[in-house]
This record gives sequence, C-alpha cells and structure tokens, in this order.
Amino acid sequence: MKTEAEQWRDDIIALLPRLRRFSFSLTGSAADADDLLQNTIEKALSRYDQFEQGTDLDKWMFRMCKNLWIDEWRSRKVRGHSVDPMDYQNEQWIDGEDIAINKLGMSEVKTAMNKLQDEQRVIIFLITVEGYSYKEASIFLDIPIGTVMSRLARARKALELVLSPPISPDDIANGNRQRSPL
Amino acid sequence: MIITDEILNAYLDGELTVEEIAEVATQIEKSPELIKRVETMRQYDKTIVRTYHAIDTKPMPDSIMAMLENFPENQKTVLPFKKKPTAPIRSPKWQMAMAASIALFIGFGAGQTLMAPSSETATSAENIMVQQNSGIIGPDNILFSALENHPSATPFTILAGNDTTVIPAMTFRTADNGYCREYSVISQKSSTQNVACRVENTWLLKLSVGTAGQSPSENGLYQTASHLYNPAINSIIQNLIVGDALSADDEAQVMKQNWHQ
Repeated sequence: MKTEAEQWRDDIIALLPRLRRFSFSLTGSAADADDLLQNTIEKALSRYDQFEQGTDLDKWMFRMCKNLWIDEWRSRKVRGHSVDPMDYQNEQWIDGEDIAINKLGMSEVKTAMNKLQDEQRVIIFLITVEGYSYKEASIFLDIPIGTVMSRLARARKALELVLSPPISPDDIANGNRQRSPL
Repeated sequence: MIITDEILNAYLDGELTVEEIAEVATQIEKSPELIKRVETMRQYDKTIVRTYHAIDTKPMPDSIMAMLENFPENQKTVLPFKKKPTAPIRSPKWQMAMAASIALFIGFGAGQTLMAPSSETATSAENIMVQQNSGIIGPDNILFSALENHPSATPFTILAGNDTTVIPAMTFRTADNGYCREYSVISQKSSTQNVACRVENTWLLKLSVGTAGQSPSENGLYQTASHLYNPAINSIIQNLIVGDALSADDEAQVMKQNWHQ
C-alpha cells in the first residue's frame, strides 16, 4: 500500500515528460531544460508539506517551473551571461536522427518560438504541443476562453510573421524574394 | 461566416462543431490563399510538436530520477497533505491521452488490432486500437482516391451524408524513393490518424491509431484527430521520412506523375 507521499511522488514522475517539454519550451535549450527540471523537482519535493490535496499538481508544478525560469533569466541578465540560453544552435545532443528531423525546420521554428512573448509561447505549447482544448487551457491559465483564442491567434500570427515576413518592395526591386534569415 | 484568425485557429485545433467545420472547409476549398495558409499553419504546428517532443528521446537525467526515488525517505519531515475539500479534481484530456498513448505502445508492433486495457484513467480511451501493416488500400477502397489525388491540408468527404472526412496532413519521401502520406479520417463517431505508403500502384496502411465507437468530443466540441500529437504516429514518421515534407507544389507534381520519381 502506497503512502500519500509515495503516490504524490508517482504523480510527479508521471508528469515528468510534460514538465520537461515545458522546461524545454521555456529555456530553448535541452541542457537548460534539464537543469530547470531538476530545480523544479527539488523545490517541489521540499514543499510537499505545503501542497494541498485537491490542488492541480500539473498547474502547481508548471507555475513553479515558470517562476524558477524567470528567476534564472533575471539572474543571468544581472550576471551578464555570455551565452544566450535560447540559442538552439548550441545544442550538442542532437544525433543523426535529430539532424534529419531538423531538415523539417525545427531549428528555425524553435528560434522563432523563442522570439515570442512568454505568454504566447506558453499558449502555443499548451494547445499545439500538449493538445489542451481551449477550455482546458482557459482553466489552466485562469483566463477566459475568449482570451485563449485571441492570445493564440496573436501568437500564431507573430510566429507566422517571423517565419514568413512579408516581402518588402525593396526586396522585389532587388529581385530577392527569399525571406531574410532569422 | 467570416474566416477570422480565431476561427481558422479553432478549425485547426478541432474546436468547432461538425457543422462549423464543414462551413469553414467549404470556404477554404474555394480560396487558394486560405488553402495555402492552412497548409502552412499545419506544417508549423507539426514542426512545433516535433521540436518540443524531440527532448523525449533524450534519457531523463539520473540525478532527477534518483531525487524522486529517494523521496520521501530523504525528506527530513514528511507531513500529510493539507486538506482542500472544496477544490475539484480535474481529469484533463491530456491524462487520458497519456493513458491512451501508453496503451498504444503496448500494442505497437503486434501487427493486429488491440483493445486497450480498461483503467480508471482511460475510460474514454477503452476503444483505442492499433493496427500496423494491416491493410492494402487498393483502387476499390474508398480511401484510395483521397490518398492518390487529394492535396494535403484540405478535407475530402468520402461518405456523403455520413460526415466522414479524410484530411491528408502531409506527404513525404522515404529512403527507398517511395512516398508516404499522413492523414486523418474523421466521422462523428470516431477518428483516426494514419500513415500509408504507396507500394506498387496501391497504398499500404502502415499504422492507424484512434478512438472508435464514440466521438472524442466534449461538451459538443469536436476534436479532430489530426490535432492531437500521437507518439506512435510521430515515431513511424520519424523512422520513414527522408528530408522535408513535400510542399504543395511538389506534392501536386508527384501526383501528376502518378507517384513516380
């Protein structure tokens, strides 16, 4: 028979893949994502006695994860961190298969996603990556469904503009119809 | 209906009713600009999904698992939960999706239709099935012409009056210079995501996953199968795909050449 604490821990283990992807979406770097995930788990476990039964565990942990990243991001700014933590090109773990996948424009889309505002990135993450319905996203983020829809529309529009910016008259005059590099 | 960005998004995300889907689909079919836009948005969505799921392939750090395995023994004091009796316990769709995904992988590779085991967290996914290498889609099959001639990102009604629609999602090349297509089959009662490859003037179903016997809708909202990320579908595509998914122009060209290089 599992104790309440063991069951709670198992619920966190079940949540790990999603939480890890969320960390990845925030940091834009696999190494940073795992560091952030570790800090989040460490903090969550240390706060077990503050967790109220009936609280959404995923919401509780996602919020903790996001706040830790905001703290880290501020701290890096203060320290004048020389490496952009959102530089996907610095990833060293990409193996052959991932390089093949990269041909689909993963790197490009990732870089574009990192140019979005946090709230835009989060809404795309919830709806597109994790398959939340608008209603679920609205409950998760504590915002009306109408706001989910408008925020998502703005986020996707912004992404579209980064990935396929309109061709300027100068470009046409110069015979350059290719979009500019990100 | 005016197709705003919000409506286009809701269409792509499966947030419209069946009637609204049909109305939007009709307008899309009439507008090359909208067809192009929907195709582009679907491609972005797919790439975003693959981008963030790419980290799934990296082993979970031992340090994180060790920290969890040692809990609660290593905690100085472990107190029971505080009670919060008024808070509702939600059972979000992702949990069911996750349970379904686990069930899907139980059957992956078995080469037959499998029914997922019933569990408390998978009540809506009891009819999940996995079929692998299980069918030839020949010219006499109702799906054949959709796969053979219908462009990606545009709905194709295969059973008029029965609200059964096929939406080819994308076409891609394989290492043996063949072609495969990902597509969804959506009806009011079931939806599937599928991958089929063209072999000797016919199509061979490589994998089909989805729910059967009930609508995946909640509160009257219809959730298209193509929207949901499915690890089994993603995995088989990643194993088969070479290079990029075909653009609309390339796809049209390949169809014109009867799927020959």
